[in-house]
Parts: sequence; C-alpha cells; structure tokens
Amino acid sequence: MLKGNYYKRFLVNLLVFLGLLFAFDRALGFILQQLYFRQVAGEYYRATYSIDSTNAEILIFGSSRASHHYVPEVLEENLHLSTYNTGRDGNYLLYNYAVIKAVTERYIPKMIILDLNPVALFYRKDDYDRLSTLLPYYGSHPEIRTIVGLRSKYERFKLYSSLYPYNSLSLSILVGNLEISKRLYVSEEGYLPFYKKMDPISISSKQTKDNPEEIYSDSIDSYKIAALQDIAEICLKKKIPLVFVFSPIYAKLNNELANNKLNTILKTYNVKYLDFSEDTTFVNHPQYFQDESHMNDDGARIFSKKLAGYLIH
Amino acid sequence: MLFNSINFAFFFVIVTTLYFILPHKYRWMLLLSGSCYFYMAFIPVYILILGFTIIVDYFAGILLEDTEGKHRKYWLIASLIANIGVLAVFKYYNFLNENLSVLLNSIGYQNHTPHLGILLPIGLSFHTFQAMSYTIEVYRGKQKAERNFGIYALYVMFYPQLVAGPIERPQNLIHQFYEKHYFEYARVVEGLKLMVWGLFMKLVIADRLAIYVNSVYNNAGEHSGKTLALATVFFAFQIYCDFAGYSNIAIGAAKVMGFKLMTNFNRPYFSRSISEFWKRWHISLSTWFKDYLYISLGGNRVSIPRWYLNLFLVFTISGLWHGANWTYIIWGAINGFYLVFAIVTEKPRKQLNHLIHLDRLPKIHRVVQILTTFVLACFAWIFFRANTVQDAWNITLHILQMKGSLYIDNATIGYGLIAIFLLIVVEIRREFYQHSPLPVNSHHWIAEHLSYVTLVVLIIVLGVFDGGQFIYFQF
Repeated sequence: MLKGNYYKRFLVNLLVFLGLLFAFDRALGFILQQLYFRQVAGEYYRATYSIDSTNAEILIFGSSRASHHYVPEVLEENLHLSTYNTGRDGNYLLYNYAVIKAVTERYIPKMIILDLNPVALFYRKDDYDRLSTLLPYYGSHPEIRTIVGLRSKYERFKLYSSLYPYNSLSLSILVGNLEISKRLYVSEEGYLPFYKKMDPISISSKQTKDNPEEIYSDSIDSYKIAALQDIAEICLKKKIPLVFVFSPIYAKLNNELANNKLNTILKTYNVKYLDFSEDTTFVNHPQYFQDESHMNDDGARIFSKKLAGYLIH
Repeated sequence: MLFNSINFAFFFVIVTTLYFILPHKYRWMLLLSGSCYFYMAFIPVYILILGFTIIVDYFAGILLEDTEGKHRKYWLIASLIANIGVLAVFKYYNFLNENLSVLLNSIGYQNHTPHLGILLPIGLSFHTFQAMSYTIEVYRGKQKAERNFGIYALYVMFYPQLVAGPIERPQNLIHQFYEKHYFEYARVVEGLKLMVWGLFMKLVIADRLAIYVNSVYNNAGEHSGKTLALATVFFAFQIYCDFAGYSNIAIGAAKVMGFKLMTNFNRPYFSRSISEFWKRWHISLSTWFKDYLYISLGGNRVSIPRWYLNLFLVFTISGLWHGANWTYIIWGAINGFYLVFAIVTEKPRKQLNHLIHLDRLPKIHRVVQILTTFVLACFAWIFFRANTVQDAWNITLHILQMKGSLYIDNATIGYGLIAIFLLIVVEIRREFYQHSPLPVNSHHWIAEHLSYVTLVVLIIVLGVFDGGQFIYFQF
C-alpha cells in the first residue's frame, strides 16, 4: 500500500477510535454521574449533601479532625441552632474553601466554624491531589473551578472527559447506592463518631519522632493563606460569623511560623480563634482520644459541649 | 518527563509527527535534540554527565577500532573506568563511605571522608551499561566503531529507552538510525497499542498496588504478618507492572517510529524455575550480565565450585546494580543462591517428583512449579522493597508467624484485585493461547477498536493519576 494510503487509513481509524471513545466516555460518565448523585450514604453522599442540600444554621468545616470532633446534636441542644458537620477525612483547607464557596453561593448560614490546625498551612502536595474529591462538582459549580484547577495545569483539559471526575470512585459509588451503606456509614448530621480508646504507650513512642518539619514542607503555602483570607472576606461580606477552632489534639505539632501567619489573618479580619489544643480537660487524657490526632466519641461530646459554651458567650 | 504524564503525550505526538514529516537525513537530529529535551526535563545539568560518558565512549570506540595489539585493551579499560567511575561517584560513593565509616568505627577509628550531597542522575545505570556494551562490542570486533558523533550520542540517548531501558546492544540499535522508516499502518498501530497496554499496567495496576504496598512497607513494624504477606504479593505485581509497563511504552513508542527494541519481559510469573524467571524478567539486563560478566568470568566452562561462585557473584553484582543499599545486594545474593541451590538439588528434586508421582501429572506439576517460583521470587522481593535489611528480616519473621488481622483498605484492595485479575487473564491468554506482546489481538476491525477503547476507559476509570514516577528510574 502506498504511504499516503497508510496515513489516510490511520487517520480514519484514529477518528473512529476517538469517536467510540467519546461515546463510551459520555455514556459511562453519565451513568456514573447519575449513580454518584443518587448515593444514600457514605463520604461522597455527605459531600454532596454539604454542597447541594444542607440548610443548617451552623456549618462545621475541616478535615477528619472536624468530622470526628464536632457533635451537631450537642451543639444544637446548647445553641438551639441546626448544625451540620461537613468535615471530610483527609481533606484540608483548600477543600473546605471550595465547599464554603459553593455553600455560601446557595444560602447564608448563621455561623461557620472552621477547624484549623495552624501547621496545615504548610505546603503539602497531597492536599492538592486530594482536591480530586471536588471533581464531580466541577461542572455544576463554577465557583469552585479555580480551586480544582490548582491540582494541575492540565486539570481543565482532563475534565473534558465525563468519566475522569469519577476516577477511582466506581466501587464506592456502587456501595453508596446500596441501602446497606446506610448501616455501614453511620453519620449523625455529618458527625462520624470514633469509639476506640487509644493506646498511650504506642503514641508516646511515636510522638518523639514526629515534628512538623518532617511531616510538612518548609514553606507556608501561599494558596492556603489566600484561601483563608478569602474565606474571611466571604464571611465578612455576607455577614456570617466565622470562628476558627483548633480542636483538642493529643500530639500537638507547634510551629511559630504558621501561628504567626494565622494570627495576622485573625487580626486583619477580626476573626475569633478558639484554641483548645492545650486545654487541660484533654491534654494527657488518652481516654478521650482514638489516636494522636483524633478524639473518640467521649472526647468529642465533652469538647462539643465546651465549644457550645464558648459560642454562647 | 514521565511516560505517564500529559507533557509526554504532547512530546510524543510532536516528535513522532515531525519524525515522519522530516526527510530521512535530518531525522537523527530531531531524535537527538528531542532526547536531550526529554532528559533535561528531569534535572537539566545532569546531561553534562551523560555528555561526558558519550564523548569518552565515542572516542574510545574509534581508538579501539584504529588501534591494534594490546593497546586496544587499554582503551577499553579506560572507557570502562570512565563509565564505572561515573557510576561509582554518583551512585556508590556515599554507600561505600557510610559502610567504611561503620567499619572504621567498629575498630575505633573515625572516617572523615565527606558525604556527597548529590542526587542520583535518572537512569544512570541504564545508559552507562548501554554505553559500556558499545565499547565492549567494538573491542570484541562484533560492532564497528560509530564515526558519526550524533548517531553515537543518539544510541546512548534514544529517548524511549534512555532512563529505564531496555538496555540495548549496538548491533541491534545503531544500524536502525541509518534505516529509513516509513509510516506503516500496522506497525504504528501496534506500537500505540503497546503504549496503551503499558499505561494500563502502570496506572491501573502498579500505581494502585503501590498505595497499599507503600503504606504497609513504610510502617512495616505496625502491620501483621497477613498484611505484610498481602503487601509482598502486591509488590510482586506492582514492580512487574511498573517496569514491564514502562518497557511496553518504551518499545511501543520506538515501534511507532519504526525502531525495534529488544523484548524486556516475557510473562516472568509463569516461570517454572528461578533460572527461567531470569530468562523472562528484565531480559536486557540479564543478558547484559550474561554476555559481559558471566561469560567473562568463565561461565559454566570452569570447575563446578567456580561455576557456582560465578552465578552467585553475577547475581549479587546485579543486585548492587539496582541500588547502593544492602537490601538490593541481599536480593541479588538470594537469587544467586536460588540458582546454585536449584543446580545442586536437581537430582533429588527429580527423584522426589517421581516418588510422589508429580512427574506423571504434567499440568499439576507445572502449576506447582509456577507457584513455587512465584513464592521464591516474592521472598526475594521482600528484601528489594524493604527500607532496611532489619525491616526485611522483621517482615519475613512476621509473615512466617502469620499473626494479627489484615489491614483493610477497601478501595485499594478492591481495585488492586480487579486489576490483578485482568492482568492474569491477559497473561494466561498470551502465555498459552496467543503469543503476542499485545493484550488483545482480534481480526475483527470493530472488536479491535472496542477492546482498546475499553482499555482506555478502564485507565480513566481505574487508573491512579497522582502515582508518580517509575520505580526503575531511580536505578
């Protein structure tokens, strides 16, 4: 066959291949999208509920230290305001920033509580990778697109695929659509209780090894600082009381640089900051913790009551 | 520039398109400049090291050809010293220095030799070995010295196999740079299919399993024997899919442009013995060691004890080639021991098989052999993957005890098992029914298209896109 014919044959076949790929991508992407947003329980359901449905008066944001520490039921009892915990395991400030942006586009809550450990202001590549959890909302929420775009410079091109937002989610989506998942993922208004008590011996040996420099990089992340500032500005503009909370922690990683950055923002935007990291009710009380970073249900209930007391005042 | 990055996709499309557009006489220049760009995308300054070995070996080759008598040997030695010297400085200096410190400390002396704060150039061991094979072949008279400096540089730097092989021989590759390659539909498509399969192996299997393996092996002391056993089996598949995936992309990318690189993997986990395993695993390195070290040491044409020693030495050095760490050396030594042990026990094993009638059940015998070889390979992989030798011992002991509960990471284990299942299905088909490097070979036009569309869809749905670089880049 002549060379020119090879090119032609190749191009025709390439077009057919791309056409089929496009069709499969759209069809399967549509199915996964439908299944994703129909989940009845699980962390993806909680994310969708936080972004698209909740109308709670108090919203709690943060990572696993929010989802396992703040008991909406206790806060509601004491503050008489409906509460929802949007905290999500493994997702930090940038994720919270996106969810706050999406929620405040929809309605204005009466208070936003952001659980924040200052060392999380350091740069960590993982925090950007984990923004993948926002991919399913990219199409329907233009306000979060710039945040999702922080993942990589090619992110918006990848999102031409309808399947890509559901990458690595298919098994979770299937489980999230089963009724049984309601029993597997028990959440009380977003709160995910831990019931174990930690073993202080294993933690104390580990504590000596950990320090912020080993866990985080050596530079404060300017995007995270900008996100924090923007959260404060959104709340200021929409007149939403904003409270930063450093919830109790068993193994605290202190870093002056992060503390200073946070203090500057607190002063600039006149944001309330409640620091429970050295609260004697929790310090050296392993019975209130599941592990070095997370409280168990006993600790979370005591903390939530204490927090409600501060918020009343 | 990683093969599993969007940057590479752009690079590949641009270079390949230009390759077919340009007249033949300019193509090597395009490939050379493209390869320089590809290498400099990692750490630009390290191209100077590559440049040094290229210049040394280029002139060594010419001098080897133009010189007669024993002086030829001197040029070969000079070239080998330059190449091994670069490896010694960049890869082994700190390792040797640290071990020297331990040794001197144990007898009450201090070692004041400074530690070098340098990063290992990517793929150094690969292109150094490829360069060495050139001068050795010229010395042996099996390859003519390459007079065109650009072509020689391209032989060392050809981007598909520059950073992780296959480690080519000059007889196979250099002449291909002079041949005119046309755009042949079947070849181009086969190359692209190999690349897709390589990406599937890397993104869907290797990088998925890496999540479980890394979280377990990096905290080995905190996991049970069952978890460590599962992580070890996962690592066996991870390293295979990582490296064979890379090789498939490399071979596929070269094939699209008309270059035929050597096969590097041949379904190694279907091997019936460790000896066969090494004929199917990282073939370009195994044959390198066989051709240039094992045979030079006398191979098996020596006394029996010396033969055993040769085998053991070659595999131990092969371990050291992988990395400057005792874990790699022990991994190599274990494989050397396996081979010697297999030779020594060949007769009694045959007698045992006869005694238990296994030799009368060839299919079952084959399955037993395959499983035994896999378990032996897994045991050796513990040392390859463990962060320290102490970790490796502890992991081995924990696995033997098999106590404690299994660490469950639902998503990773779920996707990992699906991926391994798909791999095994494809490999069984290729091993027993259709001996093709491609995962799917259909004569039906639409079935062919649909199968590769499915493969791409599976990559998008199941692939790990934040997985990072290939394991063998560090070597």
